[in-house]
Amino acid sequence: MNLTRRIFLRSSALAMVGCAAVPAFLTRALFAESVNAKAQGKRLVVIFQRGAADGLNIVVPFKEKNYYAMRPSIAIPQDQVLDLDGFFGLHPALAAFEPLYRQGHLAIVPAAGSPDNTRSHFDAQDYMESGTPGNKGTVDGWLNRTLQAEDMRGANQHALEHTAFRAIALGSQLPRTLAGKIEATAIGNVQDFNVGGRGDVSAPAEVAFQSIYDASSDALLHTAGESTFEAVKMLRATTPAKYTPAAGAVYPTTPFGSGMKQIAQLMKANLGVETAFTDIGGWDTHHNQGSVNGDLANRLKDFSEGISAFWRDMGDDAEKITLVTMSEFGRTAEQNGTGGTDHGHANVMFVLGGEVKGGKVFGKWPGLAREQLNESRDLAVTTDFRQVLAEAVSGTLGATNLEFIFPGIQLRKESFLGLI
Amino acid sequence: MPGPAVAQASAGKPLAAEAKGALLSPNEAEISAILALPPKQRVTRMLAMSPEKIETFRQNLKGPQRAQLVDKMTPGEREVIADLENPTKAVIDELKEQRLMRDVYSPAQLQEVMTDFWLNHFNVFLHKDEETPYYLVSFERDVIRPRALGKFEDLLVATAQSPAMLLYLDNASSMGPDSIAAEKGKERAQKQNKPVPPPGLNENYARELMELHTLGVDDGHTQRDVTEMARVFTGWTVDQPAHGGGFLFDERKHEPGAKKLLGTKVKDGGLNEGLEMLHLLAMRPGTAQFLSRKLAIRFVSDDPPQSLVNRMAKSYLNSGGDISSVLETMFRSPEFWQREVYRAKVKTPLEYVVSAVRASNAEMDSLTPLSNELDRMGMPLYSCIPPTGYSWDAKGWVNTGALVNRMNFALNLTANRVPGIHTVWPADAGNGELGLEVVDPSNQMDAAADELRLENRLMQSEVSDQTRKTLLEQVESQSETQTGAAKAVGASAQAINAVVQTTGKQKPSSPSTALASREKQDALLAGLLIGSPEFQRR
Repeated sequence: MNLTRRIFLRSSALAMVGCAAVPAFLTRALFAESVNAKAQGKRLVVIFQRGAADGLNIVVPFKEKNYYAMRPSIAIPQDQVLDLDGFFGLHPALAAFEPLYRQGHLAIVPAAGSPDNTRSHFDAQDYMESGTPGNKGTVDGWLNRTLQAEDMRGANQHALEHTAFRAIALGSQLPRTLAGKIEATAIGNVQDFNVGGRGDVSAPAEVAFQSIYDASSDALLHTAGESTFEAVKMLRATTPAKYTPAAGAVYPTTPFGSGMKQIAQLMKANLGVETAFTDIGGWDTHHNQGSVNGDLANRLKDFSEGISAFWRDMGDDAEKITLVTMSEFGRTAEQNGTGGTDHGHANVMFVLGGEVKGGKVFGKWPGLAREQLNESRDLAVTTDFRQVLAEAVSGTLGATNLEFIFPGIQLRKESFLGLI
Repeated sequence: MPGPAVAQASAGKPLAAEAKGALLSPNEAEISAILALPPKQRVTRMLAMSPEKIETFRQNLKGPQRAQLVDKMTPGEREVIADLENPTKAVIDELKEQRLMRDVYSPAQLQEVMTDFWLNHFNVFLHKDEETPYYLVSFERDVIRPRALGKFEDLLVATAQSPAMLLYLDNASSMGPDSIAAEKGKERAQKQNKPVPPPGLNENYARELMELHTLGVDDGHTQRDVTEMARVFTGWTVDQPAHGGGFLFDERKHEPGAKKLLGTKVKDGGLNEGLEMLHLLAMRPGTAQFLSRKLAIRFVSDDPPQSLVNRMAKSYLNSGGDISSVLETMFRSPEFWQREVYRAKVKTPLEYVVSAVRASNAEMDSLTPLSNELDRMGMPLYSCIPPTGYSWDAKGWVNTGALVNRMNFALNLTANRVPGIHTVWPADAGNGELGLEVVDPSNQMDAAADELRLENRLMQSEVSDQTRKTLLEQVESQSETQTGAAKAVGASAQAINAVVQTTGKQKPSSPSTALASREKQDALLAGLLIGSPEFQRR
């Protein structure tokens, strides 16, 4: 077997993380070489709000008369919103977002969405995750193609140096967003990412398996085994069980909060994470969604507190992170007969990051007058979701080949909103 | 001033909700009364409730009351309650369980392998909509399984007319732009001064029918062919999906007129247009090639020899698309038996999990843990979202997270840590074929014999010498740890050891301990074998 540069790099980095006495900066220096030069250690976090979040009650257009007319019992009263710019205000349960907005880190795109009019959760999520609205044949996800594009940009020797943690998804299944040629790792729980049991040292079964795979002449499984045991060891070296978030970073004790905490944990451990994905459900509020309080408010509290804890937890590293949120579609402008809202069209996207030109609401507001609505019922889309994602990937991971990442749409930097 | 008005309205809301709740939901006293009943009567009371009442009854139960509800119930009664609470879940669980049950136990394995192959080929996503789980049961049982080894055209027609597929690929909602229904819709919209609804042609099924079900992507069909094909299939819909209805050809939604596609002309003929096209597609050489290659990838290697694919395709066309004939041709082909393709395939997660359970001869009380395992391994049953189905290509299934899951599953399965699944390893603890001889677990000779025995039992072929050596070293180091532990136990243990050593022939004083540690050793050996690179292939 050739001792390639990659193997050397990886095993020396590994040897170091395995040895507690080595100062952190040295390990970091080794890993610094293994991330794309252009990206310079920048990272992208993607959060999917599954179930179609009610954007109009998340970023409230409190100056729209029709907003209150159409939502008599679920609207957020003007005196309760967190006023952003005299027209839009945050739902009060998003209090954790307010400082991020005021500090200029959080940008808001309130009428974003897909050009496809489907109101099926399944189809709309599929389209958003594949990044190809209207085309169901797409096999890979947009985030995986972003990484493919990165490798295609002549950074071949870098491509070989990525760790198994380059693209991670918190959850038991790899999401469609990350499906594709580039290896991505789904991690249900960081502490359970081991072979033969938790603990500070390799379990006997892990040692045995490693020597079996090491000696295997089956090239495919030999290589997979190599990266597997490496990843397991790298992760163990970070002592995941003993992780303490930075001071002041209080994660909600929810699956989403735990997911965000684990993303921070993996990123801070210098494992070579370039992009991370997680999702949060419970947005399909057809019944009694509530107003200032209630189901939606509870979801929003979890959502915003998880994200702001992550931001605080990342400390100085947060500067290099871009986080973007999305949901398959918005909900009807009008409330329905059961105190909720039905499937609609445009929705709000949040973009948070060190280099994000936040503190501003972006894009064109289509209005809520009957004739301004999509099919006379939903907020119209004025910003294609791919536009926002394209800006996030080019501003963060340095993507240039946007036709490859988002085929079928002409996305040009000149027409970007200026989010980053 | 919208503010105060809204505040009033929202303040009024809880009252309305309360009033509504009181009407529907049982009050505290009623709940307590039901919980106080004997188990059988609790079930009867629940069965008498309306679905809405069951829903609110459930919501109103407080923590310990949930346990009280099913307290002292028989498993059957518990199942009734669970089914009442969430009927869809019951259907989904049983659908998955029957599948795994057949995969593991069916004596007709080729039938199951081909059922799996076609279910994946004609993929339907379980959570497409609320009706899909119910329709999937029939899709597998009535559409796929009976035709899995028959004529491909029969299978193609049956899938085209199955509610599961009609809903999954949206053909059920497709409407001809000039159909009677569309014209009526336009008139109505104009009368009510509403914007004109879109014409309603949905191309999804038409495209996948050609690209995924028959011809493949590279057969040279155009977007025009797709649109024309979509017109052909307008009116193929589901009769009242919410009520579990079947296939319906709705003449009013069907696009009138002749259609031109794939170099031929289809004359105006309602339902027959679609049947004609399915026949044409099933008999095209492109379809013969596409299906033969896919089958060869499934059975032979990720990159099967073209000569084999050609022979299979010829057999397909000669037999009028007979699946059994194509398989027979494949099995009889020299390429099928070549050394290079021997164990060339990496098992998919489903194949891995099922083969591990089959090889272990495990007793199963519950199949849910296996289904959960498949979720973890990224191959949840019936849950492939894109219509492509899961890949048969090895590379997609071998990666870091996947191997971690596979190795842990092997260890958990063999050590009986997978709930509801039981495995037995030492020969003398099972059917007693080697008698009740108790063996010193630290004896290397016996460990080597055990390894060989387990290897014969679990593996299709020998493992590499290196794998075997590592396995034995592992057992050795484990027994050293045990010996070390025994020494620490104290003088009495040492005394017993001394007696055992001096008397030689005398059996250890605690045969059950020796048996337990041998069981442990064998379970570990079995786990390492099932997690080994050799077991990942087929």
